Amino acid sequence: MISKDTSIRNRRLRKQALSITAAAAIASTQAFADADIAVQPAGTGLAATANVDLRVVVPEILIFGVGAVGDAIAELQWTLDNAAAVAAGNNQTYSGASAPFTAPAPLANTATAAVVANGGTGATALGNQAELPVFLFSNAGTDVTITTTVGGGATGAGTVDALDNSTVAGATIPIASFTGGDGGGILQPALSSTASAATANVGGIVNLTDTWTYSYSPASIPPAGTYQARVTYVAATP
Amino acid sequence: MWPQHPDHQRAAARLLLGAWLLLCAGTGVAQSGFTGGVTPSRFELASEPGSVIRRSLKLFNMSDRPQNYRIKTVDWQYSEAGEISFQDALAPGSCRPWVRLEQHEVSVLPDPRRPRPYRFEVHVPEDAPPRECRLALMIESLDSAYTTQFANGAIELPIAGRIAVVVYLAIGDVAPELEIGDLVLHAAPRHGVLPAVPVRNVGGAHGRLDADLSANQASGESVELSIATSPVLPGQTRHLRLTPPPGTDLSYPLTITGRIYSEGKSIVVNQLIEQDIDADDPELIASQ
Repeated sequence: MISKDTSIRNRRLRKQALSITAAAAIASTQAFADADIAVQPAGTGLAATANVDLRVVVPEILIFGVGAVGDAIAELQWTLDNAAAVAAGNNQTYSGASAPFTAPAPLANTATAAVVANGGTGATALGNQAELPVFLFSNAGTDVTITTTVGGGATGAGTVDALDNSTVAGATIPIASFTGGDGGGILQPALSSTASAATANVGGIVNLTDTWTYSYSPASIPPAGTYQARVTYVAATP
Repeated sequence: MWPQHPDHQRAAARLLLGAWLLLCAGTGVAQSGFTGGVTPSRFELASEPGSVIRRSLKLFNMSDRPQNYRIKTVDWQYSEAGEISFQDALAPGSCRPWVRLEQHEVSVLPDPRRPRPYRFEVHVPEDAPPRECRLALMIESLDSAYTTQFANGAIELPIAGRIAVVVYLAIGDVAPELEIGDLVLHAAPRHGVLPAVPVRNVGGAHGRLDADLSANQASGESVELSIATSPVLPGQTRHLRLTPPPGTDLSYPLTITGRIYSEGKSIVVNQLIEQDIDADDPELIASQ
């Protein structure tokens, strides 16, 4: 059973719907944006012209991707292999003719890169170089500027432009020990805070994929421990 | 036929956007841990003292799982060399205290057809003087805040991504006033040596140039040149490069002809560029 209130409301809705329909019908009869009537002398061909203007509204979009799909965050790590640096003279037999141990050879600081996969694949490592996929799209009509921030510690709040030792206060590895690179598509800004690089648009569009690389070449062995820093890239269309 | 009604136009634009984003996801170009998207990517707003500006943007999660995004305001600077920097600390004269954000953290589904609308407001004070202020909405994945799990004794370098939506807010009657000089040769890192337009902004708001230019080369070939449309902030002098189509090397001398457009005016260009200069020439102006 339909209550009186419901019936009244439905009638009102129907009336509103009829009003909207009527308004639409009236609008449709008045919707000739352009009309032309041709009047020509007898014997002359008739021609009438009506124009339809087309307009497309395309919103500005900016998409930026860093790291492997499904990864929470791209985690790069290096381990130092200095096994080759063990002095050859450590096992020498003392004959009394010379010192029991020779001076150790210069340490061979061989860094080996790895990528921690915590859900995704796509990032790789080879030798001392880690590689990340990057993606950039913009139709804003301007170049896309990417800015770097490097901060020490687990969340990047520590020493600027350095990796902080997690246990030894003040022990750091300068970010200058690392070398970044790109494949010439999406320009990788320098590995230092406030560095910035603009990837040029072509015809108002930036639509590129690239692989960014990170290599660690230690100049000397740092104090033992875990070192951390976070590199953050910000994409913008100023 | 494209629909005439604004609602239909907006719906059609949404369809286009959705189709493009689906294409993106489907073709696997979005191969990233942090793959965030936003539309629009910047706001250029006009306001009056005492007014409230309300706008919204849409956040896209192009990854394969739900993401929590953090949104905050930051100040930013833009150098004459085209370098941008962001800062959390309030800059002098910052208008960030006028901004009201819908939420600081939002969850976004990994579905390009279902962007997360996000609203913000700017409450301009009654006594705000005429000027242009600038801020940005910084968008990052909360996953970036998670503590990385590295092996002990390792050297660890997590890499994170963010997107900044820049906001220009003109208060009152402010406008750019761009003074355009003769074309010069200009060295841009990673872009080589290119002709460029010197532009000085003596107005009170940022400005941009548009152009319809072509270069008649020594080889006899004519190519179209695109002008960099990056902003020139009040008080800045910048050199906006003119870029030929990809894969085209300009041969000098060049005769560049056409028009440069600025704030409803146009300037006729007809200039001979005599010779190429090495990118290492210290006399060249190095900027982006």
